[in-house]
Amino acid sequence: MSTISRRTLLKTSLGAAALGFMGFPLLSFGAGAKVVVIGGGSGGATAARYLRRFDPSLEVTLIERNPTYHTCYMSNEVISGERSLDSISFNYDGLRKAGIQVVIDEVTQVDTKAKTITTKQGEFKYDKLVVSPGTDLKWDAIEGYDEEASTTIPHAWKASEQTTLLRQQLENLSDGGLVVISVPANPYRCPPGPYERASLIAQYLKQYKPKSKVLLLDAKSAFSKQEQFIEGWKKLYGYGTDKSLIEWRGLEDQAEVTKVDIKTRTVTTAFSDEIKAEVLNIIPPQKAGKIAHDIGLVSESGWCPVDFKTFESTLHNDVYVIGDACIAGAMPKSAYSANSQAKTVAAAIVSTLQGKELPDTSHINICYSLVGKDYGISVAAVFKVGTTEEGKPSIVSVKDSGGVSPLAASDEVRKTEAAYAHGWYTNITQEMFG
Amino acid sequence: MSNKTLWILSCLSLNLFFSTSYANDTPLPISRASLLVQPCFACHGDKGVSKGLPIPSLTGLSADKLHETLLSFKRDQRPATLMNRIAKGYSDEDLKLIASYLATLPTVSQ
Repeated sequence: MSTISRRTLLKTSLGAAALGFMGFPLLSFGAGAKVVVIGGGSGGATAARYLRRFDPSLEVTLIERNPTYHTCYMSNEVISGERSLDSISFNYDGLRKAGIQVVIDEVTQVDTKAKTITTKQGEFKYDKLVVSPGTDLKWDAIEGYDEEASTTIPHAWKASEQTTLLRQQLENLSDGGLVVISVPANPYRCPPGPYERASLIAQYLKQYKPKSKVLLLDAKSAFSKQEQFIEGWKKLYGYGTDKSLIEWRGLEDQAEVTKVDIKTRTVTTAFSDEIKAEVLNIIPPQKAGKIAHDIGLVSESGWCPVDFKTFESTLHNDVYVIGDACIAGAMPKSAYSANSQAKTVAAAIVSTLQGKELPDTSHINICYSLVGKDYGISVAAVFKVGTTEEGKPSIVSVKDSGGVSPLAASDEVRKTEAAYAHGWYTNITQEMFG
Repeated sequence: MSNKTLWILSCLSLNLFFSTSYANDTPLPISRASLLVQPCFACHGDKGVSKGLPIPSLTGLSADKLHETLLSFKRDQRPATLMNRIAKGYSDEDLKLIASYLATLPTVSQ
């Protein structure tokens, strides 16, 4: 009797063990598939973490050139002296802890047929590839402004040394000196960013260099959260008066900067005005990051066309593009958009590896901007795959939702939104980098 | 201890190993509810646990309470700086899916 029961137990146990071995791959159809993420910014870091969350058996490798990432969002507070560069700096230890192989190296070649990636140090195979390369600056767009020029005339549109350089120049500015910010036409990374920058520089000037002024020279006729910014500028910085700390000139004034003389810090506008600045910040037009061009993921637009549901490149199978570099319909080029797209791309890849259909979903974008201390405004939207008014497939914002903070809101509302801006920063960076 | 007993024990421990490793690595579901919820965490904190105060966590609330709150935001019946604009982006049914999913989250981030 006891022998039989032991035998029965043995059989049951062996059966269960076999189920243990065989059941795991059954539960996870794409088990052990190799997914490589190129680019460790807001999109790439989130995608790598979520790939492992949706399928813990995946082998996920993140390849990133720099061991440290500096977020461009909140870098305007470094420029105005409100926070340190360290406070916007993140490493990849959190990703390593999440079981992601982090490779700090530069990609030199991607073979989309053989599905191999060559870096300076090694070679990697992939089943699925996520490319999240961010933006590159178009050095040829403004006469006289190239990479070399940016070592003395900062763009500060990629955070780190550039942020510090602009901060130092502001500290050296004389009281009464002119600060000029050149703003490009759409699309570019962080649409409200230049106006937040002008706001926070004005905040610094108000306290330390009250005779100075920020002049925005803009290629556009209108800008993100314009009415809300101007309302805040009137309240805080005397906007519209002859003592205003901020002045904005747009397309109507033909204010677009076409030429920069780096020696004299003089810009020439489309109207042929010549304006000499003491501190000059050129935010040049942008395009998808270089690696996207090298792989052949970029259309004539300078950005990467993708399937609006899965973010798979329409130019190469098994390669997905997210973040600032992709063409995502109505979604702006922001950290929040990249984060939202990263979650979807991870689900799309795991679904396809498991032979399942990706459920329909939606995206969110929220961009907070700080107009001053305790003065925040926001733009928010919910997006879904749909068709544009012209009937073209795209990612569109959900009708009658989203929008900008109300005008004429109370001081308390502005203060709350400023606090939420900082809370958002803490939470999104923790979600991305651990 | 007989060989058979050893066999049984090793098989049992093997099973235990597999079940434990699986339990720790429970995959995040790829359902419509799950995918609708994930973008919320960029503001409200990883897995709904906010470390960026004063933004509230989304954990520890019942599905009914969450659904009611989301509907109030959508109908401008509850004061908000931003959630009223976001809640309008979802059907009442989607808000229910979102609420039900959030109600299952552990209160402490794991």
